[in-house]
Amino acid sequence: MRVSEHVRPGRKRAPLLRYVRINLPRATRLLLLLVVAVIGAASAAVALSDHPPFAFATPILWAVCGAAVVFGAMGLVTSARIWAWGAGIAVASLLVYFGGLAGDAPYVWNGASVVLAATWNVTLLASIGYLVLFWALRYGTIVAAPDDQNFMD
Amino acid sequence: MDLGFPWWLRVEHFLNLVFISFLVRSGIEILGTYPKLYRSQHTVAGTAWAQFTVQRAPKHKYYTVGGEYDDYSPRLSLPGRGLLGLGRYWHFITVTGFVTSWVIYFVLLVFTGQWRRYVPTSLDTFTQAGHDMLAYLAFTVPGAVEGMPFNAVQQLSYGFVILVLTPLVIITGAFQSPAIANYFSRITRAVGGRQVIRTVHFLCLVGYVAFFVVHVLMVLIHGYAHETSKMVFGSTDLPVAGGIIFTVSLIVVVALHVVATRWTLADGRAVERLHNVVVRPWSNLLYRLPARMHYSRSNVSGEDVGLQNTTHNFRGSGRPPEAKEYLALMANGYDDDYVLEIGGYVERPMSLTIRDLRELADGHSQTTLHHCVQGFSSIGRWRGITVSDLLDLAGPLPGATDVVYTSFQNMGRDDALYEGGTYYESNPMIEARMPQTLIAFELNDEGEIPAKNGAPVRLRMETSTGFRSLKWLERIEVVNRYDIIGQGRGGYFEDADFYDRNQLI
Repeated sequence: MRVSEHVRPGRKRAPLLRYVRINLPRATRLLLLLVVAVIGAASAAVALSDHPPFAFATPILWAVCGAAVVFGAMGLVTSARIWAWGAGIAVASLLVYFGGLAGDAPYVWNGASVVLAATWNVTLLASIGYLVLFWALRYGTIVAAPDDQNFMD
Repeated sequence: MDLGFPWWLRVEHFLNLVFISFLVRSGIEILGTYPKLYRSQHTVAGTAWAQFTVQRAPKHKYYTVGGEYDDYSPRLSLPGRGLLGLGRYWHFITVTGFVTSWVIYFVLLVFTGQWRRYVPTSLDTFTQAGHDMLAYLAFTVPGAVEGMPFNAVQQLSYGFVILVLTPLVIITGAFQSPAIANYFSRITRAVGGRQVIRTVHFLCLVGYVAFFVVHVLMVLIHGYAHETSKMVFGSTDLPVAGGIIFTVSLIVVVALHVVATRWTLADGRAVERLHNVVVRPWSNLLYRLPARMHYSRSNVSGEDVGLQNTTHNFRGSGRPPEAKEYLALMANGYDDDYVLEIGGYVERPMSLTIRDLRELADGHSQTTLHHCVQGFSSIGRWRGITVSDLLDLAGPLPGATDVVYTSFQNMGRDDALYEGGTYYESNPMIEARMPQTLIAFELNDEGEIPAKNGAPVRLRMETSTGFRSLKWLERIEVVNRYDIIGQGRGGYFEDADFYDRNQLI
């Protein structure tokens, strides 16, 4: 007998994204580490520039970068499930970005170079990207090593 | 040369919107009937790299592939509700238009010099594309390259979609056809097998969807009316009128989808007739491609993916007959009791035991890839005698046109997934005479064919999809017309569902 999961009472089908389950645990783990590495590298690049997004932003950016380095090392060396920590880094990076909106964010129209503005925006895009991946991980759409979708059929 | 936006390019742009959206929706329907993607052609349980289903894994040790499909909404797939046959019809109808349109477009690009709009003629294009990407990331809009209708990133991305992604999706789609994949068997194997090709075909779909999302975003960033005016009038002179006309055309595309979906769900046979008019003229040409597969022993054993027992892994796609006579044959080990009848429109009707078949086969075997219509594949070494040899023995009478195979299986009685009716299949003489159309009695040199795979004798039809390779064969009849048998469509699934008898794709 066919048994469908995630179908709410009174509905015929499950929510659309429940149908998608990707089982590439090692690739997903590497992708998550890569995204956090991008957040860290972009934060470092902004911290090294002469255009801090707001007063005292530089130490915070370095803190995000440092956390990303520790996260990357943990992810590569151990098999720990550190994804919530990564979400913390992404949220911290987002808060810095929003702080920049209230301050003097390095946009082109604020006098920053195109490269710096692009790097600054990468902190936003990569953070959002990580949070989307983190949500997909929690939802069951993707899975990161050492976990597995455990497909039986 | 002023590249601009010639009228034929604008027509192609609109047609692509229609074709690709239909292909994506019908493609999702096809995917949904075997919603799993693999990296090995053996489709070993538990090794899928992606699944698109919410079905709980069956707890039974034996479950048929017929129960694999998931029921997608008609809002997502075309037509939805797990109607694979109709999804295939739409896919092939649309593919006919899509490929024709792309070939014409390609020829026009080459002969008008418009290929320059997509193909970089200098390495500077890549450097400029890097600068443009930085500009986008800096939340600014890079301008067009001098003499070009768009910037370097757009040039490379459009070029990739039109000149790389589209040929790739066409080729990988073509290789989903059993007739093509099994004729060009070496290529199928060289690129990793059917499931790898199926995976790449799916990734092409993801590529189109991703391109569509980014493309629409870019149109909005560059200015909706400004950009759509180019696609309507070929210039930005009339942005308001262009925007309105383009929006209306989008509404027309959505309306086409709604009409096609409802029409299909209401009258599948009408879609079948449309398919037969549009698709058969070219798909019938594939009868000229006989299967010529010769897989290696390691493929059969599954050593390449660490399988212990390929025969065990060879999926069953139906439930064995529960008729008393069949169960009695099984209990007695088939050899002494089973008789294959060959009759109908022949000079010499005959009855052959398995011993007779083995003697006539004289050790002949073929190692072939099974193409399930839903999507799974398995490799098996089949020992048997070609239908062509049997026909030579029986001597078809002048006017004989088709060969009809009847199974012990009665679908309603034996398989709860389907309505009643004796399972039968037929093929035209050209298909019956193909070198790998076989009456098989042994699988993988491991003795008799297992019950789930069609014991004791079954048909193998390697140029077509799996369900046409009838299992549990009871008799063969040569006929001079097949349209008076059953409901006249040439087979059980052709009658009861929406599948083409000329199923070479």
